[in-house]
Amino acid sequence: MGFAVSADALQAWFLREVLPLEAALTGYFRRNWRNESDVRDLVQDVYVHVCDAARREVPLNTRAFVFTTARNILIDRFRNRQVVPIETVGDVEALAAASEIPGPDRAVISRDELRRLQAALDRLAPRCREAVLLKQLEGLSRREIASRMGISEETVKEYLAIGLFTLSDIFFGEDSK
Amino acid sequence: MSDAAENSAHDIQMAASRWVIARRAGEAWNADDQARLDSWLDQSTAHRVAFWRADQAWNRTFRVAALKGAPPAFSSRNLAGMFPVMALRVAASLVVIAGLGAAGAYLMRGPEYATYRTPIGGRETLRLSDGSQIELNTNTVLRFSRRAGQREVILDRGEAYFQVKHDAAHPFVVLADGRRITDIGTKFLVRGESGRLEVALLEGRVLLSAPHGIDAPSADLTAGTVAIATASDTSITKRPLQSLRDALSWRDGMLVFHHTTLAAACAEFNRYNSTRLIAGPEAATLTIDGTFRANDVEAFTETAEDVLRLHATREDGKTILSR
Repeated sequence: MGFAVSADALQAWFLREVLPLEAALTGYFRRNWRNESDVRDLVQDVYVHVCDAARREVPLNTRAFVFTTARNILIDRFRNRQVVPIETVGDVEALAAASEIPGPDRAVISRDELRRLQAALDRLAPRCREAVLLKQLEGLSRREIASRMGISEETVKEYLAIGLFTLSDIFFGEDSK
Repeated sequence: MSDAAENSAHDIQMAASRWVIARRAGEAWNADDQARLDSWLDQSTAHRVAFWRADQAWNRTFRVAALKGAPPAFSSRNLAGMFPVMALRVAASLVVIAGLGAAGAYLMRGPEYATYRTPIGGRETLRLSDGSQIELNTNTVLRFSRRAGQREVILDRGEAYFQVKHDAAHPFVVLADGRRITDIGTKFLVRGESGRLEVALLEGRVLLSAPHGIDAPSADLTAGTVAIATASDTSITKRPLQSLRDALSWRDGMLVFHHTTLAAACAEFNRYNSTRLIAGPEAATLTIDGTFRANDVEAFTETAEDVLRLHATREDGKTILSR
């Protein structure tokens, strides 16, 4: 049994319990679906499905629910292609049952996190990184960044957005170990 | 399901990132913008989820990046000739004061001293001509002997990190809280506050004398040990080197906490800031982890609110964290 939730509570639940599973979920789809370029869509399908379901009733065991959903989505896709290699979806039990409960996405700022952020920033394209650093480290306005980098404000926005897109993938989609 | 058929997850996440940037990193965000965002969010669960995700990532960047800003101007003074001749060169930002009484009367006889002092939140590096270096932490008063050939320092108040070039003919001596710390080639941290002296050894060896007037052998401290001395007792414990290094994070303007109680963390912040941070009775024993900029009380307060689910009340120079 679960309980129905407000929009805010749904968001909090998603950030706290579902989003930390993204790395494991991404790994699961990579292992079990041949086409790498579909993985992002598959993960999104899981998010949409579990959030729509949680709006009515929040599952008690989020992890099990997320991975069961992932398997069902895969099976649907296999069915549509009329190939059903059932054994490939097998490791979902292990994933769903993993005892490790994802910690809340704590805003704790540890040295590890600093290191990870540094590593993530290093992987951005140079212009994106520069824009993000000027914004977040130097606290410059978009106009100041534009004049510093000799580009338009619109381009600054685009660099920041691309930087954020990439950082989101690194933060959530990759194992932080 | 979602409108993933017409919009790939990639496109949706990119659009969500643009929204987050527009809202969070823009200068003008008005009701119309918010209405447009709301309508985009209402179009599908996929939009909503992608927005939450990107917003969370931006938060994380901001929180962590906020700590990586350049520490406040870390001045370093080159005190050429300080040792052994102890030429007195006082940098403009340092206040010279004469004859502090806190170190015990027996210290006051004899040589003259040059005094260095840092304000609350300040830091100062003194480079000595013999290659040694002393870093003064917040709210610290330290005096040098000016007698030729003598390497003697008195820590009247606060905390200092010493990196000493060994010279067997001229031992480097730190006097603090009635004790004598004699260096045998080393890096060590000395912190004195209200009758309690803490000496942490990062490298090398030092001898820590018994309190003045008590006839007992000196304690021989080696790397990785911490001595805590009161007027009558000395206790010595081994600590992991990492924890000693964390204790030195103030040199980069940072504070590192590992399972530190909120009360202790607040006390640390209060050493560096004029804003008083107070842990309410029910919050005092909660523990917190993390690395924080010593002068950013606000970032710490926000993190404590988020992580420990506390509420901050701000009133005239005080911030109270409570349940």
